[in-house]
Amino acid sequence: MNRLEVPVSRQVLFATGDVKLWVEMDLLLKDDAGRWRKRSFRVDTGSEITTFPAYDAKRLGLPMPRQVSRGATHAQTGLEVRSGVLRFRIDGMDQTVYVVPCLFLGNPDAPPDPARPATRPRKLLQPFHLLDWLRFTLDKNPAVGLLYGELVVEKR
Amino acid sequence: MSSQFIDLNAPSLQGGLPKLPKDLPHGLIAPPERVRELIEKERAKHAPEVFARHEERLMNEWTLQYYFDYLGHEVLYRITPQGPEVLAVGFEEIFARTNGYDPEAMQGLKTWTPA
Repeated sequence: MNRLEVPVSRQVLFATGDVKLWVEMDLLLKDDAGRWRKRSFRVDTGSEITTFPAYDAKRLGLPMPRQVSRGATHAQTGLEVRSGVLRFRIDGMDQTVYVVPCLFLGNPDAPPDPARPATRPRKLLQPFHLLDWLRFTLDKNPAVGLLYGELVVEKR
Repeated sequence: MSSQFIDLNAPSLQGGLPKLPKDLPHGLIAPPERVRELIEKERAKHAPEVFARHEERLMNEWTLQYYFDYLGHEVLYRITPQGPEVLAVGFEEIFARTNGYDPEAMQGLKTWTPA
């Protein structure tokens, strides 16, 4: 398929009753052995580069630099950084494999500390790196009948 | 990174941290009263036929949020009309249950990601 419609996700802010909105896409990540691993990413234009937890990457066998990138840390979490790439297909679309730069966050040998959830590395997909191949459109078509709209992903 | 609000009133955060996957609810979880109240509030904002189409999913997701948000653990679950059926909590449980996030093993299941 050359087109994917991803409904906007939503959660409630219990303190106020407001509804928080965002979009998540399922990606099939290619590991060292050529197998696919399915993980959900938040699509985030505010993230300047795609990020993925280094611990998860190592457990899943994803290609990742061994050496930490000296002189750079992740400002929001203070975690160490490894600069690499992520190879993936988009679940629900065709077999095209995309490659984007990715910062692997945290210690690959230690899971994130459950006592400090704010420093948990997140899976964020920066879509601007995909604009040579894909078009992203935010829409809310009443005929489709979605509560909060959708992200339409199309191949160029 | 995208902006992120911390909801200090979140039910999942009451009782202190850390909360480990093994200590969190598994199996079929009925939506708590607070979630049912918020669903009713949200219902008023949408066309009835559109809301009806999404109500089950919303009820499942907000129930997961009630118990798991901000704790740092993904949840593998199945949507049911009675509420989410939680199959695995956290990376290691999901890894074991799905043969390392194998797409085939995850068919028909959903993952929920905390804020």
